[in-house]
Amino acid sequence: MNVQFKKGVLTLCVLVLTLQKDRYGYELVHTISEKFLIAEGTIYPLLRRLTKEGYFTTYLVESNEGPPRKYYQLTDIGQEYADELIQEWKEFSLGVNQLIEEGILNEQK
Amino acid sequence: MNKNEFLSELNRHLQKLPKSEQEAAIEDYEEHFEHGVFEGRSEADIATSLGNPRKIARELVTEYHLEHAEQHNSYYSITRAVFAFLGLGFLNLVFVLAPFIAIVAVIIASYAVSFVFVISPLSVFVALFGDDSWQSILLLLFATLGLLGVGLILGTVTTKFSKIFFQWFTRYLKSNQRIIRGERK
Repeated sequence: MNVQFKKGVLTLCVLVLTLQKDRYGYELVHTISEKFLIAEGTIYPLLRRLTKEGYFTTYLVESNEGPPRKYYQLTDIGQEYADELIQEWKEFSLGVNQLIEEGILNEQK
Repeated sequence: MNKNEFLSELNRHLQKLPKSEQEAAIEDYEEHFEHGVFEGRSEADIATSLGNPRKIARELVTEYHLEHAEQHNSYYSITRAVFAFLGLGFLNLVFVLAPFIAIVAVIIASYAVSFVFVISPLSVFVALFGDDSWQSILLLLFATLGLLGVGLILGTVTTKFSKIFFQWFTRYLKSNQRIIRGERK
């Protein structure tokens, strides 16, 4: 898959996953990799960038069970950015789906 | 590849980054390994699904440089903003400020004239206390009433004109701002 495209989709995924609750790195990686195949290591550079751009703030939680967790919390502008990307994705996927359906129809003729 | 091999391979390719960046990145992956091991996965398995550490390092370095370029860009744009400001300042001083003062002066003058015209009928009262003939007083009355009309019209026109002028001027100032901020609209 095209690298830029994949990055965009992964950005969308981590933003969407943090909409309802804060999540820690491993949790994000794990949840996404259950859905589709990724090099799991690429999520962390992404998280670093989004944090530096002000879309996330992070905080560390020590846990009695298991290792400490670095949580990612969406900021207000992160929220806005997520909404924007979701809208873009919807339009984009709608377009692609229509093209696919038309393609299949033409094939059947 | 186990955890230590993965982390040292990653670290080896992050040498170009500042120490703080390296440490922060390594910490993320250390934490990832700890969580994986805690879930009962083997270090080798975790390393495999993380992907090639050299590629990850390259990604981190690229992100870092991109960000840096943006910062450079902002220094550049500050310089540009200063020059834009100075340049525009000169332009504004010579070509805009002088006409602006002139036009404002015209507006003030025509308000003054129209004010004097409007109050000119009051001079009839002054004349009443003098020893002018009633004909000349009547003439004065009609003449000044005429001036009152002219004054009212002049006042209205000036108000209209100055409104348009100040609107235009605000728009000009805003476009200055945009040029200084570096927007190109």
